[in-house]
Amino acid sequence: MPRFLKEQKKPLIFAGLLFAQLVLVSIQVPLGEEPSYLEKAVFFVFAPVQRAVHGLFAGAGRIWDRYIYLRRVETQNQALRDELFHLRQTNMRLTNALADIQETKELEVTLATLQKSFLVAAVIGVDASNIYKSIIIDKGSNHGLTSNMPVLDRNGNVVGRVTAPISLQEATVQLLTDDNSAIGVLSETNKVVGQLVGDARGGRCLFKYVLATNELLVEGEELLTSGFDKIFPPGLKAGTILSIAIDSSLFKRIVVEPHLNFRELGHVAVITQRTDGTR
Amino acid sequence: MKPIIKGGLTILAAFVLTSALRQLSVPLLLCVNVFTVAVILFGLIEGELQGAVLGMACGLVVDSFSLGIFGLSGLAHTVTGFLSGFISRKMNVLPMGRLFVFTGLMGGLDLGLWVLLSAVFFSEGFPWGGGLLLAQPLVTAALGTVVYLIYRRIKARHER
Repeated sequence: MPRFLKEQKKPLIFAGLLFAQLVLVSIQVPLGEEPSYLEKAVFFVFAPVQRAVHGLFAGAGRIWDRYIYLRRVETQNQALRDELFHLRQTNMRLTNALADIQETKELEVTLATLQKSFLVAAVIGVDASNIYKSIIIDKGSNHGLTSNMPVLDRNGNVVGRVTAPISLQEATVQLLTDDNSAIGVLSETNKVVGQLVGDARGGRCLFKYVLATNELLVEGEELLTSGFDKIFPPGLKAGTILSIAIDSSLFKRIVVEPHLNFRELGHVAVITQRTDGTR
Repeated sequence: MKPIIKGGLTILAAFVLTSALRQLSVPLLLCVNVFTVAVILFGLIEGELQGAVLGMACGLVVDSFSLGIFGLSGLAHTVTGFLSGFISRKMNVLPMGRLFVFTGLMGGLDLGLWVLLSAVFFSEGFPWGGGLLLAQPLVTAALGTVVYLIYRRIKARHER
């Protein structure tokens, strides 16, 4: 080995490492959204570790909740019984209403489709470099998950969509606050149509492509999915308008507070089948 | 123990701790970057080259669980790991006060590099989290100092 190489071994290896990573970054350009094999491999190896840590915490939490911290259990139990009673009543009224407009067979098919249309998944990880970009859930391709399936929180609000990498037991969910997320939405009252784009910097969203001349929108108005993107079914709550500003551009700058709350994101529902039977 | 095994165990420990932090509180991840602490301390203990290699590996693990650019965190961590080892070989950073300042500066450098690479070169946004992100170097300094002092005590006990 030449003397120069021997003397400069460490800086050269350091430069080599930096160069290798720059190459890695560069080769992603033609790949687009598709993750590289290396990225997929690291995800496959480390995802079970994340699942194990989640399992450990969930187990400890269950022991604490079930056997140690039993204060207020009776009150909660009663509240849940009341809620269940109301939900049963509502369910029965809705079933009866459906029966009025549909034949029995048709009704059975509709109800069966509704029950099979979503999958409950636990959130086991979050994007460590930017918490507003993505989460990891404990269901994967083995459970029938594929890219672009909508993900909702327990209240039925939009969380995001399933995206690659998807392993056998885990999948990544792109949050609606991610910079690269775009959802077709419309305002609840005045039906102003636009696109809800993520802003990972502040964990908020921007309601885009609403003309500056449009006077129909007001702060505090609810935004619902329009269904025009062919990913999210129409009518799901996405967020509320926080502020509306007009600058020099053709469009208004509308900041939206999404209904995404990390404290309530223990479990999510993945819509695996649209109620119209498509997927 | 061989450096490669040490490195593997360090990455695993950092990953497990990060996953555990997520279980406690998601916004906590903005101000506590366990991977940065691991890279700085590994560079300090094992040397600049090992620090750079561990930085690259840690960055790739972080990026494989992120929708950001794969390799972006690796670049920042590689530089931090290398400089951590390089500077600590040139000057004594081991007294507690200096160690706190050193790990804090390295944590700031890592965060600064990541923000710079994200915003300037790759047009990626970074999460301020209401200023929580700015606390990261301070938390890195505190955590790094405590972990290193524990490591030194355990090592001294083993050598006795």
